[in-house]
Amino acid sequence: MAEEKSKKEKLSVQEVEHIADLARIELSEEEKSKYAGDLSAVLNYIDQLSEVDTSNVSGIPHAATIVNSVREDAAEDCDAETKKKIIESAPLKENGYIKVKAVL
Amino acid sequence: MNLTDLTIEEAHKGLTEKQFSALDLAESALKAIKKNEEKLHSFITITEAETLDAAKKADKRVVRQLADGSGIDLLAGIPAAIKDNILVKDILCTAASKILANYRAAYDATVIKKLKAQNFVMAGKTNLDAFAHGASTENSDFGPSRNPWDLERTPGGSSGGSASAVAGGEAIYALGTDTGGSIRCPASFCGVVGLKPTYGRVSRYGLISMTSSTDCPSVIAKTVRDAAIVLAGIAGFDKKDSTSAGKTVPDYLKNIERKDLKGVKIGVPDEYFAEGLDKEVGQAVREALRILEEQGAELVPVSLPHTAYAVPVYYIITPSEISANLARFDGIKYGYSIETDKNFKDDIKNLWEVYIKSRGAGFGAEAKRRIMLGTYALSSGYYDAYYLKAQKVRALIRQDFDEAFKKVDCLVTPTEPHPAFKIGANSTPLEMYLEDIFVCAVSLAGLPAISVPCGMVKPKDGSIALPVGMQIIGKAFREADMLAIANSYEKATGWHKMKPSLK
Repeated sequence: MAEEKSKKEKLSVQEVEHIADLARIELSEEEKSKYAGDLSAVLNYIDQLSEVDTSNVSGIPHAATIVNSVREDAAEDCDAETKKKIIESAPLKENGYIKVKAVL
Repeated sequence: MNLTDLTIEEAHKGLTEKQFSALDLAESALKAIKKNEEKLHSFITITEAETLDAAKKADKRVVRQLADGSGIDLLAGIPAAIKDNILVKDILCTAASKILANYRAAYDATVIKKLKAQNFVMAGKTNLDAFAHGASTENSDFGPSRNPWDLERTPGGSSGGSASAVAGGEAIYALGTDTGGSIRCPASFCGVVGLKPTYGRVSRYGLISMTSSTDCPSVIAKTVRDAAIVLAGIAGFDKKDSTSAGKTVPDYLKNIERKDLKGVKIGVPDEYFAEGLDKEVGQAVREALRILEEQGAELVPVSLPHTAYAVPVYYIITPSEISANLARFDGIKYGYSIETDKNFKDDIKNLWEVYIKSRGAGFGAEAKRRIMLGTYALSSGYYDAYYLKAQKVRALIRQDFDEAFKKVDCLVTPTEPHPAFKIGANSTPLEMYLEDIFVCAVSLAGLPAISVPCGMVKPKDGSIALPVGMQIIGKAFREADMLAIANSYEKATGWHKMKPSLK
């Protein structure tokens, strides 16, 4: 059964594990096999894009039609109240700083 | 009569003529919410104290402005429902996800800031599919909203709570967001007006980002004129949104009334009246087209040949952007963290575990699916085949519209291929994605569109008649023309006046 499934489906449980790692999401065993099925079905559906001839399309279109509205790269101080609220939103904080486990 | 059954214009007139106060309007909304929420579940957060407080403040200003003759803003004191992915300072903002269940916004979204300058009164924060991922509100981590026309059915989504609140008389208008149809789908299912502006017309600053290249703050209202009023109230350039358009916002009410539609060319794309469209829905939209023709418009058959590829393109682009946008929910900056979860007793060893466990426990199934789909589409070795290919097909979808708009002023299609479906009817993610079939191409092309009620039909699986929506698609930044056509149609029919039974 498991072998039959892996033939039919685009994504194996191992691939789902790899993707979940890249996405920093812990999944249960049950979720892994469910998402392998769900995502494979979507990817199979998406495969129809390969029939579209895009040889004459260059680059990413959105960038061509919308102009970025840029502003000066100057530091703007956030008011003390907002700053306090932003820090307060963090699950763990200490002395006005967000507390994080060691990065290295 | 319930004051929240009024339109914005009617309520504004009542306020101006001192028939009632902003406090009366707010109390009426809160009363309707108390009465109907058990049935509809339109709201995630009801802000009773803040609502009454805002109304009292609005009244003070209204009294002063009426006395000194300066006049009051059209939106002053009108109770509004706001989708819970739009930040309102100091109010919970959950995006209908457990991961943000206790998050309080530290600042106002630009659209809220603008409304506050116009004497804003908010009735509460409305339900959605978590992070706006869905077409029914069934993906809400706090349970689905229900359709006021038939409580066994979904109100559509993702802005389903905003639509059910307005259709169910709990608010006079609502804000939602439309990323791939999320305002038009629920407007169609609930028999209200849903307006998605051109991408860039309304600032995205302060939305909980989903797909940054298509996210648009959008409007639910009872009439086309009301939708125009709200759009005017929220539109305009914002330096805090890097894709905000620096275009002047016209007076949307100024040219909204037209004697007739002579000289207007309406494109009817074959691909939107093809297989998969419910017969009765098709008939209702064709009848609406006949009325537009009667008003002088010329109907022109057009073709949008890449229509069938809009959903597959959308479900590459959207998850890709979601995988980046939802990376910010890491258990550290805000929202749920495994480190402070009292039900989780194991020792958290390192930063990696904080990330994977917080995200694993905090995100719902659909958010996980989309993040992973996007991660896959952007990952090394698959980028060209998926993301880049989808962007190229997206360019062709946009070209289809550009070609059509050389010949016509707007396009008319059904908003959804069928009326509201029953809760639980779409059993797989793919089935739910296909709900976006008539709405997501518009989003990919960044165009404005409006859904207006155009009929009532009995669904295949039920006996209660349900609303049908007609979608009018406009040229980029030409909302005014689109609104005039929609208003002309609405004036000729009475569909927008129908009220649901809440049964």
